Amino acid sequence: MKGLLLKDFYQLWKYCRMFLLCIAVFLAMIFVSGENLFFSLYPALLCGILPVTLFSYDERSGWKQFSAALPCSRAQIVSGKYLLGVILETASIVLCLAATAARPGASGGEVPAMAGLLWCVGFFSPSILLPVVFALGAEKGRVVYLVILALIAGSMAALMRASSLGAVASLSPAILGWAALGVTALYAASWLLSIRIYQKKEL
Amino acid sequence: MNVLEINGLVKSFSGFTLGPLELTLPQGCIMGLVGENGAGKSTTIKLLLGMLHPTQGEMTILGRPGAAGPETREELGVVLDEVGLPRCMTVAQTGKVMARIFRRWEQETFESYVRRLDIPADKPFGELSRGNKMKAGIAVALSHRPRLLLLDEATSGLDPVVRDEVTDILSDFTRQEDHSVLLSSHIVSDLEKICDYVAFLHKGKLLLCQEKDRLLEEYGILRCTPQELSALAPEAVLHRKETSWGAEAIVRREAVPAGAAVSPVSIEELFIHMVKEAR
Repeated sequence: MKGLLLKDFYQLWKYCRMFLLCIAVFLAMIFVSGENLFFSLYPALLCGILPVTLFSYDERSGWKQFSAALPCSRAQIVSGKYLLGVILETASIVLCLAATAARPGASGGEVPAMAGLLWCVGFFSPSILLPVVFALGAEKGRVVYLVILALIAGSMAALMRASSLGAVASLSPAILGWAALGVTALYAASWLLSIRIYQKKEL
Repeated sequence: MNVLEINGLVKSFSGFTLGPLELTLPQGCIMGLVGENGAGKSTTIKLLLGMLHPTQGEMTILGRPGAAGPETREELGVVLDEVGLPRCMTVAQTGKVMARIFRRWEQETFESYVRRLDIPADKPFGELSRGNKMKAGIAVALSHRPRLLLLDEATSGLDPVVRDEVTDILSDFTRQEDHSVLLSSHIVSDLEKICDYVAFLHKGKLLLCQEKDRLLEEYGILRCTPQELSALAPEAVLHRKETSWGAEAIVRREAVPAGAAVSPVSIEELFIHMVKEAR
């Protein structure tokens, strides 16, 4: 598992530097944008997609087949991608919250609600996408990715029109807490489903 | 002890069926799996590694029943046709990753193979030549004390010098009596040099699986007139070819009358004749 994660981090550093730079820019934008919610949500959304992006590189290089010849179980291969998602997403949320709390004029009151919102946004899309990608491959999974992206973009647009960082603070922490718990359960269910799918898959 | 036993293994796809396969590889031997492109060589190796699920049949690898699980794969060195190492990673980085994947990884062994095979250690894998990619794959396959190597077309697309290096490494590997190799290729000359056993695959069917030396003793080429050839018993002739200059046939030496001028046959000639006969 450690080896699989190290391989993914090497690939992440090589292929996804632009993504990481984008995230850094968006984090910086939180300081200057004031109340704009988009800059806080986008890094979380992007980090959720990175394991899928790396999976498509695995397919192109033939690693998908080669890893099946290594002493790793299919469950470990799947878990590597989910674990990577957890690490990246958690890091992105922590940084986003830190930037939100540290921005000029921040009250800090919106941070707990923001944490719930970012958690939901960050973990929802990989929960849906990863089982599709493990079942059909990254190329076919991309169609599902586009549909999800359109749905999230639409929701975000609506959310941004209706709310701002300040407005997020007014959201019920209980509702956001339950929503975050629901998305966590969805991510866990997706993890188990992907393992079952990949164990049956012919490579 | 046999490191590999395959009994009645069948894999059906729409439009192609592999098998039934019956193969046995004794410990300490090299088996060459010979076949044209699409004969089923890669499918066989994928079935052994559990990448594909068999339609029917059984297999035992290193004494464990079924396709190779993670425990068995710890003792396998595998090189696939595409190698499959991440393109962005250097050979040195690959070593660090493998050290965290294989329990018995030997970094010094890996580095000595990288030096011996003259593989650029700091170049990304995607920028290496086909030969260096294959050599990197072989270095990885040999650096965790494997007992069995499974090599799928490991010499294809390589220049003769590199192919010679690879065959030397495989010969070195099998000097230890508990080391064995299953090597698939359509370049029969490479297999002829190093294999103890040869299996011919054609359109998914196993034409033959036998010890190479016995095969070369058993069969020969008879060049004679068409009339002389017709006089032979049908079971003596494996395949015949008639031209305006005469006839040529692969024959079973023991079924040919004494005194007939039977010359030695190469594995490549035998394979070509058997495939033509099977068509």
